[in-house]
Amino acid sequence: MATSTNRPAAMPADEASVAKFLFQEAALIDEERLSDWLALIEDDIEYWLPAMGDADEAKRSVSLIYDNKTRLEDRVWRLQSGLAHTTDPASKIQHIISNITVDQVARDEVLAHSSLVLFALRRGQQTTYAGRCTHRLRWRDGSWHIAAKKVVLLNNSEPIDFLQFIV
Amino acid sequence: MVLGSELSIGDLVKETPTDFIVHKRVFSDPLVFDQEMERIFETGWVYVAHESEVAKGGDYKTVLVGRQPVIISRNSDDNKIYVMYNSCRHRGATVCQSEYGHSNYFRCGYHGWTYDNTGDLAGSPYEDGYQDDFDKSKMGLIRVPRVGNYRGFIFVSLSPTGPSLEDHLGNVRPYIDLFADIGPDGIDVVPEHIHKSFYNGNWKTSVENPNDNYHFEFTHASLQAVYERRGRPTATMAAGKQRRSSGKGAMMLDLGNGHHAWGGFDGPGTDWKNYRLGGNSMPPVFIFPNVVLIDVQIRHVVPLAVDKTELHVHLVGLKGVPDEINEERWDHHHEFYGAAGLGAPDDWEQFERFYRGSLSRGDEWVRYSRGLKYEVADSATGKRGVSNEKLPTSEVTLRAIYRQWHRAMTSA
Repeated sequence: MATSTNRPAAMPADEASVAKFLFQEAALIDEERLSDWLALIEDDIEYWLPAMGDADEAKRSVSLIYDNKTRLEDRVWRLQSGLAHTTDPASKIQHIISNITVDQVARDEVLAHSSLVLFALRRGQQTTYAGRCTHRLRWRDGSWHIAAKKVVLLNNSEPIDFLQFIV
Repeated sequence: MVLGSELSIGDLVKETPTDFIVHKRVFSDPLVFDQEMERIFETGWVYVAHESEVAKGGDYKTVLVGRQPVIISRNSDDNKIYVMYNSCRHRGATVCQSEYGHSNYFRCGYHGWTYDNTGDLAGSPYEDGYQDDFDKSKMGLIRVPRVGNYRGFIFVSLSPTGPSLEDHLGNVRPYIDLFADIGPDGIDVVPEHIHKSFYNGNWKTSVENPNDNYHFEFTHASLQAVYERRGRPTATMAAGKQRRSSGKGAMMLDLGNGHHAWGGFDGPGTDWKNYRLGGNSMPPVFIFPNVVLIDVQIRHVVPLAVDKTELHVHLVGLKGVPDEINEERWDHHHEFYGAAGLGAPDDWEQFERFYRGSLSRGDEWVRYSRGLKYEVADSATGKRGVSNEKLPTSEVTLRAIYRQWHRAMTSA
């Protein structure tokens, strides 16, 4: 809620606000509104899915995804292009977000921890993924933006076939 | 072996001067798969590990050789690598449960039999329960008949007889040398750095792919478009162009014994020196039957069923270079490879479609005839090749696989 026409609302570092945002983020992805999702992404984004368990540092470890803004834009563009054979047919997905906790880490940033269950359906086969997410959310201009998103999938060191969607 | 009344295994690959066709059963029949396991994976030389995966005494790795579980372990006393069947001599249970680890002993959890990491039986509980002639020294984990190490690449054969590893590797050895020497102080493969994937298709489709020049711009159309949108030369096209525009003598090669790569009859050629440290640092080399050296990876192909294949992609670090070089190499890798990659999954999708289509019998055969009319043989080395100037999208590299397949599957 703005207190004046010039000042955006102060950062609500509470679980309810963060949860609402995470649910909205999930809905955008599930509904394939990826351009709207990209509008939430900060320029210094680090979108990271480690492989082989968890890691602190992406540069010397194996990752399923390790995207800066450019690569993430390429990823989204490719998924929406209709040219990728892995999207013919495309996966239908459903995110379930739960177990949310929030830590304020800066004047305008929080870390949001959550549990994820992700169902992916392709060619009649439904695969379930689970993992822990950490979002670094930045409050800017009266709304949340995503500065970092890390997802540690339970099965990230097991053979995986197609992760051809936004996790 | 006879499949039904109409075909034997030997009939499934047909080569004439004008045609090279492979029967769809080769990709979809579980009976053929079982024979492949027996005659290729559980008889000939197969890749199991790079020695740096078991670098220190006590380190071990477990893998499947065909269908058979084995342990690769480095003994602390003599620092040698031993490969033994992962099966207790009592009732056969596996004694080692992890893919990687460190232990001087393997203990069977069932009845407590304990082996050291050369496979010798260190002890079993209540030994007096056996006959007086129970000879501990003969009750160790059985070691596989042959283990070979070429430039750090470890291969095993479950048959005590057959060609030596050097003979099997033959013309692919100079390529392994190139790969092993990319790092000034060698290469490093560690258990933490693996991408694992699987696809519901046949293993042979993925070992065709690395030197299937024909597929790039179609299979990877989406990645090509991503690069064009950014004004980048496409990795796929660049690789294709390298092969297409390499100097006189650059050919795609059937190296013999099932291996394939590109280069010339007299060796890999000087173009390979250009592939050193940058992102796309190793053009593809296939070592029959189950390992590909490409880019910054060792790709270990693990067939589980006729229609299920795992790919264990080991990212290779270079020793003796600044960290930034390895980081750059791996960053390039991450864009293309892995289940979320922008490149490799489009290949796997085709492998699955290949399998599903191979269940149809309208046309019982699939074709590998591209460039057959341009193929030339080198009697000195046994290599066969097609010049990139004649046809860069030939399938001579794919024919290499099926020529060896036919030999291995029909040998006495």
